[in-house]
Amino acid sequence: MFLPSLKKLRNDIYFCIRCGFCRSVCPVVSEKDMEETVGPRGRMILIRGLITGDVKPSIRVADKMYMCTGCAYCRLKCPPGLEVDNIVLAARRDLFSLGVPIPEGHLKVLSSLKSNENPFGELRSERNKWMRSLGGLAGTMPESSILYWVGCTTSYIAPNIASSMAGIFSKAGISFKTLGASEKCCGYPYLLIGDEESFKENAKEVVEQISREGVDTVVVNCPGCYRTFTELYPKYVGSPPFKTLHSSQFIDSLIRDGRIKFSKPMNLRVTYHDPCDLGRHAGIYDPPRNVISSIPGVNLVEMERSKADARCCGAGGALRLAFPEISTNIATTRIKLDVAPLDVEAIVTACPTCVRNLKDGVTIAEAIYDVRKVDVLDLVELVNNALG
Amino acid sequence: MITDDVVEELRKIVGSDNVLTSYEDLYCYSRDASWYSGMPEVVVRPHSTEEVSKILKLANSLKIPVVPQGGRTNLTGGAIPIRGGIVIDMTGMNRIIEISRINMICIVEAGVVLGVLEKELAKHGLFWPPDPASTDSATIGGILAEGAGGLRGAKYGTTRDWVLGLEVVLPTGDIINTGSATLKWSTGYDLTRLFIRSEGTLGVITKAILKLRPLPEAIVRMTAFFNRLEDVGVAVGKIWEAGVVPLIMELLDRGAIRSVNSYLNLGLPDVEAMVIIDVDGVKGEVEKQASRVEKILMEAGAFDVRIASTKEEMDKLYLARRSAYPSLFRVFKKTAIPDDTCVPISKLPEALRRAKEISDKWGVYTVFIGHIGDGNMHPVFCVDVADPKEIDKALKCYEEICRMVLSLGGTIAAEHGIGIVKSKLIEEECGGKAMEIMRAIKRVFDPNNIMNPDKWV
Repeated sequence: MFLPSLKKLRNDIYFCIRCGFCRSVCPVVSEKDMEETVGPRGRMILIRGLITGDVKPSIRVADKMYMCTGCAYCRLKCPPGLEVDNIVLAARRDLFSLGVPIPEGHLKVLSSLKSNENPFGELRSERNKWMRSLGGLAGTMPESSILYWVGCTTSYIAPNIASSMAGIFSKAGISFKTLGASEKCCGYPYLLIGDEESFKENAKEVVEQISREGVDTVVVNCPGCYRTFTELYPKYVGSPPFKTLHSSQFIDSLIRDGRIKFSKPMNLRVTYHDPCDLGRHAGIYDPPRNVISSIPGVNLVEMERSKADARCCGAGGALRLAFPEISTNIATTRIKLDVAPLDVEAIVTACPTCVRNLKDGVTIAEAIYDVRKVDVLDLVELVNNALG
Repeated sequence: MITDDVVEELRKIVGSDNVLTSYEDLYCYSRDASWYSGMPEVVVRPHSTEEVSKILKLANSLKIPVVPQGGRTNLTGGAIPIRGGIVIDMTGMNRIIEISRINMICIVEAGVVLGVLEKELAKHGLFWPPDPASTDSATIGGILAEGAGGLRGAKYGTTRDWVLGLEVVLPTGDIINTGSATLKWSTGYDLTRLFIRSEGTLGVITKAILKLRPLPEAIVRMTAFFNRLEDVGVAVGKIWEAGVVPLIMELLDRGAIRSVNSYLNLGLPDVEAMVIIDVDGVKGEVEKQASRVEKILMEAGAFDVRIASTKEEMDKLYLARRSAYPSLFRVFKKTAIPDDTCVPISKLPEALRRAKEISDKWGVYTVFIGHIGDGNMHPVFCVDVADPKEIDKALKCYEEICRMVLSLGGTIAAEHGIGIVKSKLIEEECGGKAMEIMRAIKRVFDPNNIMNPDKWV
């Protein structure tokens, strides 16, 4: 069938009333000066055109579909309640399966996923370099029932988050294990780019690999991995035989159970940035805030747009992998409009990808808009520091 | 009609990034919130009045049609380029230039989204009274060009009552300023009001001076339930007769209530009609006002009146009203086409009764919503737009309701404009001589007929 994923959603697509409520909240539209063609309503008009035959599949259509962070704010604002972000993903899948060319950045990601099992072109053997920097991990136990799934961005781009996570396990006296260098990508980028077949194949392999470890709980600190394990695997390959906890939920429970205690005050004014995959997609708003608020001396102030209304950092939906400039500009906007007025010393988030993008945003905002420089920390790093 | 040379000239005016020519880009600009469509030949995105002026001068010299577009939330096809040509996308001109509490005004560019402006105004304790349901996406320029109204119309009227002055670019490229940033003004013809609801047929609005009000201290929201639709009309009349000026009075009939309940599971009672009423004012006084309204409603035929006691309850009611129209698409799996008529309050009971009879006669599934407090009713027809017979039947029903409303001294267009859908009917309301004058006015401003051509004028 031609455009099978979109045709399954045909009714929803026809229910778009073109009211444009999605437009003014779309981070890409705002960044591109309110231009219609890069926004959710423009995408919905094009998608309807694909179905009616008015619009032919082409690289120009594909580019519009890839110019989306998948932040799902449009879904929240849509009066007929359309899952606009998921309809866009369906369009990506259909266009991909028709062989419509994808952005250069995404081509590189797919090639790296196939050859290196990570999206960044990094060597497979380098995946556990963070462990080597710790001189091995005393806390890892082969018989542990908890597996720490590190994720590609943490392993390669933000290794300090991984070592901080290991520090928290150790300070809580909880044994864990990892897949070490044999961990592979959860496959989220496959689905974001539209390669559904590779996603399914990869998903089966990941679930089998983790299942072989015989653990009952997997802890992840990447919201993309979290969404993949908890929402996408069940949808595409069935529910995995293990429970997945995001680091914010895991640490929140450690605090509640008295497994970790903060003894020295930190004296830090922070704000919290809700990652889209954790917030709007998974509804996890309170656990990270509970954690931050339980650290003595840490003063949490909310941004004007937070929780379900949080402005995206711009890195999601594989946007950064294809259009890095738009992505970092969106992060800069988040810093300039929402963070700067708060006069905080640090932004805490719970996502390695957000950390990376917001750090770029901070640098640009400081250089261009003379906005005061702030630290960007993952929740895991903050907690590990606070535990001393 | 648009040659490569014209595109090149446009690029020189606004920069290459702001000229869109690919089929896919143009297709995105071919639709508004109505069921009409039409492809532009080129889309330009100006960022200053001077750029708009240069674009119009060029278009005028070559007699190229020009359609200005804002948020494209139009429900009557007003922003659809039915003769191709140039679409001017005004959404890039989105600066809020000034907000002055002492002068009770703000000055904004045409592309500012009303919802964005509302947030900024609220920081100063102010608001702009017109409140179209499309607040989150409609732009000021589009709102003015359509003469939009909205929920707060019962108390505050429509756009025309809240604009003090405009900056407009004429098809010749001339830039004029109308009105004044003063609260009183009586110098010459009122060109400001001429441009309001001109639907892009006279020029391009680039800036506006808007009149503001302080945010009310308190609002009380209540709902009244009725066994007969026409009783709602009676109740509205009784409220006005009693000298009460409600902020909003919003109607949902049984079809709308069922649709919203089915879509959002709000658990609203399954009654023939309900009305959501807001009264606003000073704390202490507003509660007294609400009690008065409650008494009037019960006397006028409501079988139950409930006052919302929590913010959640108030939000739920507002959500019900705002979701009524979009819910129809999901629940009935058809397109909802809204009519937009208004009658004198005294004629409301008859208008509601007869509109229902007409829709029953045509066998078109019709839901009645509307800003009923000012006599504005929106019968909404649920039709399959892919079925020409259904469309034909719905439009005939639409027209018959319009003619019935005219016979009662009402109007066919309260706040959605004329656009394409009512172009046949405008002369029936305005009369031949008035149309002649309008056409003559159009020629003065736009002798080459380039501005949104082939619409109603």
